[in-house]
Amino acid sequence: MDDKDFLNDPIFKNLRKFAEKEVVNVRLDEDIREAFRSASPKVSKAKIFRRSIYSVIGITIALPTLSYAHVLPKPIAKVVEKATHVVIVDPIRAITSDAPKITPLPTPTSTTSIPLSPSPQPTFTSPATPSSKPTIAGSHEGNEHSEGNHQESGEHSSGKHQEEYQAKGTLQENGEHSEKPSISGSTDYHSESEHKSDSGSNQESHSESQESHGSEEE
Amino acid sequence: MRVAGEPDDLQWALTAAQDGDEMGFEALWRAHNSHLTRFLQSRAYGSGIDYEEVLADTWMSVARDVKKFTGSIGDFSGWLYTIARNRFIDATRRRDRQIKASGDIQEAFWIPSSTNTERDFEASEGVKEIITKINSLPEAQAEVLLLRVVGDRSVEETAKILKKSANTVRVLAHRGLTTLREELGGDDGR
Repeated sequence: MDDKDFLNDPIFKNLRKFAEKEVVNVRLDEDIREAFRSASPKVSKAKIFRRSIYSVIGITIALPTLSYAHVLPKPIAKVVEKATHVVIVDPIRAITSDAPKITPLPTPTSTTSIPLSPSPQPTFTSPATPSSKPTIAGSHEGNEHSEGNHQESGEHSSGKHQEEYQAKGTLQENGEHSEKPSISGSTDYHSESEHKSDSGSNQESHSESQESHGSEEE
Repeated sequence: MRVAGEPDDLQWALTAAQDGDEMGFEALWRAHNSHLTRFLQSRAYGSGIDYEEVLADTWMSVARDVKKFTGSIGDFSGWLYTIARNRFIDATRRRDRQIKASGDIQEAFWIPSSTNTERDFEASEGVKEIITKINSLPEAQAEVLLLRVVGDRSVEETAKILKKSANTVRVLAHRGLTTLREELGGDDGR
């Protein structure tokens, strides 16, 4: 049977009239409208974005918590701790280091580290020896030790002090000076004590400082 | 008989609806709602199923999934009727569960009598009679007849909706018509 004949069969005459009759007084339901709005791409993008942010926040809170509670397996916990360090701890440190520093209160220094003035006498800045170059420390053992001693005690480039010593001529018994000015900051206490024994008590104040170092060694 | 404005005129509406334009969606709804309503009214008549509920469910599904739909406006009608058919099957299953749970078929059958099944069904007695006869046919035949005559679907579209071949649809339609003629005894369905 042809499709056209089928549809035009008299049996379906009234049924077709009924089918063609418009449904009146019908409006698109508000619920359907709302369903369409909520399914629109713009809304769904915003929804996805919002949900992703919530998820990230949730994971950021949950994973470290689980890690510290020792719930997570060790390898995962390690990774989480590393990530936490990178994501949270390091940025916080970076921020705090950028912040203006608060000047710390002066910490009490131990008496052993206080530099003792080499002598109560007034110091002279002009060199006593006719050296062309200002010799800070000689190659002599004793001088090396003394240099180290001064650097350690004073914690500054002790050129001035050494010049002062040189002016007094107390440290240059052996008279041999290296050409190069060496300011190598040796803080070897042991060698200092050795120096004490080697150089003897050439200077009162010097021996005092050596004594204090000796007591430190003990 | 075609749905007003279909197919080319409504391609813009489908595209707009897929882009989230409410006007486009409303245009689609206006073009298809009348025939879909009549189809579901006929299908639900005497079954105890609330056709308005099925209709609303259908449009809700369409509203949610129209942006996922891939195809032309011609395919859209088929898709719409497929959804409607599926929702109707769901409603039938719900009704069957109700019947099973109540244990009394008569009682369960009459539960939806206060719903839109019978009420507000503005059709002549002749129409009601033929619809009743169609619904008493085997399921496949009834579906084919209602989709073809009331839903205004072509053989190909009906075959697609029912997931059958076009020839099967033709055979089912022919058998249904023959049975109707026999039952109505030469009456023209008035």
